[in-house]
Amino acid sequence: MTLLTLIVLAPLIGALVAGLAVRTGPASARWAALAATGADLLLAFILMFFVRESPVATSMPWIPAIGAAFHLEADGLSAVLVLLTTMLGVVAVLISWNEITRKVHAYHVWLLLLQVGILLVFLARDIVLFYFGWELMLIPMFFLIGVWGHEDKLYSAIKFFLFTFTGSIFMLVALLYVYFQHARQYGMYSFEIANLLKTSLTETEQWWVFLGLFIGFAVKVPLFPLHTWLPDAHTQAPTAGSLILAGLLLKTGVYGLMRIAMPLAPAGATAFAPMVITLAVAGIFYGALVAFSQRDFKRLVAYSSISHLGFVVLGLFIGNAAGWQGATLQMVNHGLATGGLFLIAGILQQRAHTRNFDMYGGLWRHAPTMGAFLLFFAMASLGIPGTGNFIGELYVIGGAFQFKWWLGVITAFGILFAAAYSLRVFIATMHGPESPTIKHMNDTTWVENLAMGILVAGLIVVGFVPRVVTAPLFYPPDTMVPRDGREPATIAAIRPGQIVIPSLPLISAEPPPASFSTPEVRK
Amino acid sequence: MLQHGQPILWLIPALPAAGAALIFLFSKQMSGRAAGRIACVSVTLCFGWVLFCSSLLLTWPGGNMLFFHEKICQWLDAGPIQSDIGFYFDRIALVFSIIVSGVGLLIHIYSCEYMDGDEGMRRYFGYMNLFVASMLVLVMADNALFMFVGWEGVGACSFFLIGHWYQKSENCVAAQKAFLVTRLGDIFLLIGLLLCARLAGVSYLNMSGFAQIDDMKSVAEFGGIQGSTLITIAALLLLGGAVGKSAQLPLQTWLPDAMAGPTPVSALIHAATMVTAGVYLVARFHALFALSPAAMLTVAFIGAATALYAATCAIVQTDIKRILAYSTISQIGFMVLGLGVGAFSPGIFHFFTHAFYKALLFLAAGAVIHALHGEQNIFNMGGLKQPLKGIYLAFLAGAASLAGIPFITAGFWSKDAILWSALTTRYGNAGLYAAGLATALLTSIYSFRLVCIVFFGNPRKEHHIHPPGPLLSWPLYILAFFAIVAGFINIPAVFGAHPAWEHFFTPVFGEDQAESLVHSSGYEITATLGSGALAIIGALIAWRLYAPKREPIPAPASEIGSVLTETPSPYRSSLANDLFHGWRFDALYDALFVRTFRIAAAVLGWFDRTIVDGIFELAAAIVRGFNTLFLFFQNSRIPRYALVMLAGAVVITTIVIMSIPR
Repeated sequence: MTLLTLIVLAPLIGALVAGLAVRTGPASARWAALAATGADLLLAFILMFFVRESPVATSMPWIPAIGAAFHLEADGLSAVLVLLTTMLGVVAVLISWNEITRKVHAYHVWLLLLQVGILLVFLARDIVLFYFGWELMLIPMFFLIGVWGHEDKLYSAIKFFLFTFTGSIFMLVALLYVYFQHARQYGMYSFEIANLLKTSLTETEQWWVFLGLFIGFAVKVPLFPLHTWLPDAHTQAPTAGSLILAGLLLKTGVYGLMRIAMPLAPAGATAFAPMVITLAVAGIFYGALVAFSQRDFKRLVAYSSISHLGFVVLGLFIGNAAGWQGATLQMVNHGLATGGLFLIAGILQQRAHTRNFDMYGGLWRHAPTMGAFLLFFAMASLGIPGTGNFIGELYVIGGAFQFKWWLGVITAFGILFAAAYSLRVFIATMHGPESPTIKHMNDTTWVENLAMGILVAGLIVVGFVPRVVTAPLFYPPDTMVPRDGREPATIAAIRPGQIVIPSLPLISAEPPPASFSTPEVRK
Repeated sequence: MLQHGQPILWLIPALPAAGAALIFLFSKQMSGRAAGRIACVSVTLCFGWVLFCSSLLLTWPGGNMLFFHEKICQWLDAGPIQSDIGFYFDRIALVFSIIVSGVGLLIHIYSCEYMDGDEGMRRYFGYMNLFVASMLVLVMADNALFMFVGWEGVGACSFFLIGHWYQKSENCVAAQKAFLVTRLGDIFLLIGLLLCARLAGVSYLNMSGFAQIDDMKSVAEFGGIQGSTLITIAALLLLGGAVGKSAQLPLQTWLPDAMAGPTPVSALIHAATMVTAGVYLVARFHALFALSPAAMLTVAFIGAATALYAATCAIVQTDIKRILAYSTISQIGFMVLGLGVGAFSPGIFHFFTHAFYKALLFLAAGAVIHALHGEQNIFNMGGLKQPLKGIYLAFLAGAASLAGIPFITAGFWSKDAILWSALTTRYGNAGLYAAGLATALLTSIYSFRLVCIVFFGNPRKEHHIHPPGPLLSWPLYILAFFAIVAGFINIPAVFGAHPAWEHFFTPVFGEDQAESLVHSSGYEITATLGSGALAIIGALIAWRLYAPKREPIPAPASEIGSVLTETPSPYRSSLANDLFHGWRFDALYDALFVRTFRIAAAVLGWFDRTIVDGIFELAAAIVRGFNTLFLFFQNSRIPRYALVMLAGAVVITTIVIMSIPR
């Protein structure tokens, strides 16, 4: 199906147009980017409709010598994330409309290339393609931070690059190991994820493979304590950079865990689950507490991301349907709500030339619309019902409760901590006596309102109809059983009509029977 | 369960929600007054629809319609978490939604004048409407998770409205405190709901399951199988939510500070409706509580303790709104006490009368504050009886009802029903009864202390009095009417009347409660007369202590300070001071939790910067060190290369020489 190819191509064409139009005024680049991302958003909506019926795929040979193919496929999970990507893509272009005045063409080229990379990660079903997209994301982001960033941009850009690049080397090694194991067992080279999933690995092998993949993905998530690149990168990035970093780049890490690490090495995932869960829960509270102590708007939101992503990773590793759905929902919600907070941070910085809370205060009087948006995003971030965040957190807490009751109880207190820093964001900015340092503050323009309005609409829709995200979902491999050997809740909880992928070979000494076909995503 | 011909229920919360949406979306195009009009119209329509639904429910052909149930769509669906968007309108929901929309309407009308000219009037009415909508969702949701939407929604609206005058930092602190403290309770509630779902299956969270006696029997059996400890824990967790929202011990500290909001907000949210959500919760989950005597005893104990605690605080306050805030805590304590001793319908009855007289007191206090241009200290008031005649009479009616002046006030009948139950039901005991009586006495004292100081005597300070307009006055008169007569619908049978209220709730609470409500004529009459006498004694004490002395009050200016300190003797002791600060709960919590949280946050912030990031920085520094090291050898200058070559040659030669066997 050409739809998927088009989805990847649209921003690429936009980048080309923006790049070629370098001699014209800056408006041409903006309009080209808007057209490309807008078209992409439209295509993503169409994709959502198709995916309701069955997964959509397209495949053609690419580098046959090593068994790499240009294989794109979208099931529920991919489609939802593609929709999120294209949505934030439009928002990113809109929010840059007035903010970026330097090297506008180059900026938009990088922004659109970044979107291509992210889309490839979410759609690729071939490891080489996946890895290509994974590394493709790095370079545009490096330049977006390094060129259009703020005071400490070079340090942050390099830090960001080194962290993720180092992580991805571990990932690559693990993937190559599986690739060669597969070739040894089946006598053919293939980078197809579906083929690699058939590789039989001993428990020890899985342990190592999972470790390698986990390091690569956990840096990106980022999981405590590998997070220190994040606050710097967020703080220094331009607004759209922060938006995409928080909304999408972090999600690629989670997606990698869901799509590659956990299915490829389920025994490894099971073995690591207690550690990962511990880190995730620690991250929830650690991120929230550190966020509370920040004076810099963007740093606060960056640390809050660590807290939110702790919920996501926790949801994945408790091994039941509620947690899995909650994690998926939280990915979307976090992208929208935290993205919104970053937009406000960027708008404020652009107007007040500072991110320091001490310099803000009493801005509501001058900027009531901005205040309303900030209030909404802060409330979403603390998980008020009516926004998607409530449901995501509720699912994760409920799943954790189902897994181990005390884990659910501990996690539930995370939302109290979230309330503490979220309210602080709002009160420190909008409430209080009028800041003497900010004499005049313009309210948001209609372009900015439109950008934020898209996010608000998304959050409300998910808040009342979470089924748009969870109904066509990719489910965890049912081998994700808690180590203590209890019945996996997953199977019982999945209801008829939902998509389940068939069980994967867990640990088997002999190669799987010849009749074992490529796992298909069945309805 | 859709009955043919039943009214559309979703319209009830949708009307005020639509009003809020209209105000927010077009706030730039409309004036504050227009927003007020939209808000009033939407709440009026909502109130009308509630009345229509109520009358339909009560006059349903056949006469045994217990509830309307309307399922809109599926909402949540993940393993143990199942929930629909749907509404459930039974007799509990009926009473609560009538109060929410009816009292809400009066307060909206009142606000049109009270908030007139305020810069944030549109915002104010938008949030007020949103609050009414959320509260209606809370009381009409057909399952516990959907109820939680309303539960959190009202908390958020409370936060917005307490911080309405956001330019004063202390208002924002109060708003934040209210939100965080109640959220702590909400977390207990959430965990409790998850536990309920785990204990007895998902359907356990459906309101219809709780409302029907037959369903409860099976749950009771289930409870027997599962062991009562878990049931008790679940009930106590739910109680945690109720305690947070209803400002009961030990989470009561937020409510007095919440008075930072505009007075009509205090009247609607922090007196009549939101803070009674805990009462609603316990009443709604009565069957669960009834399964656990330990939980019931805890509920009763918390209620009695809170009632007494807050009454002792109220008696020494100087701010008119804080007095009323503590009295609200105390009165909700009464309701909770009633629920805890198994007297569910008297508990709700007290909610019903309290909503009228406490909203009245707040609105009247607001009118006084309005008339005095923002003065809230009662020792700067005085002698307002003449200039504010109408307000005085209304306030007197409210205070009499609060104090429980016998026979003629609503508060008397509802309070007496609870006191009697505290003594006689199967969960009740003499200790609870004594605490209730002591509270009743204190309540009467502080009510009339308030009346004496504010309205009698000479003015303690010169004020240019701003007379109230009709929009401010008429809601007071209407509320005053109900504060007096609302009690007559449940005069106990021993007085020869027909206790309509008690029968009204029989289908909901069932025979469980009917049998626990003992009626024995002789004792009951004695007890009723006794508690009535207490109220009168309290009023007399207050009169004796606070009535105006004959001598003229000293002139203002330099004397204001002394007037403040010259209040009756209890103020001087440190005990009175402790009472004034609410038994110093704030200081305790501040030291225990708030400071710990701040210190932990600061320490972790430092830790993250210095240690966690430091490790990575160290790694980078090591790499950089190697870089410098290798750069020494490779600086693209011939002499350096020559030197390095020489050194290398020396090293190699040495190694070769050393390795030659001797």
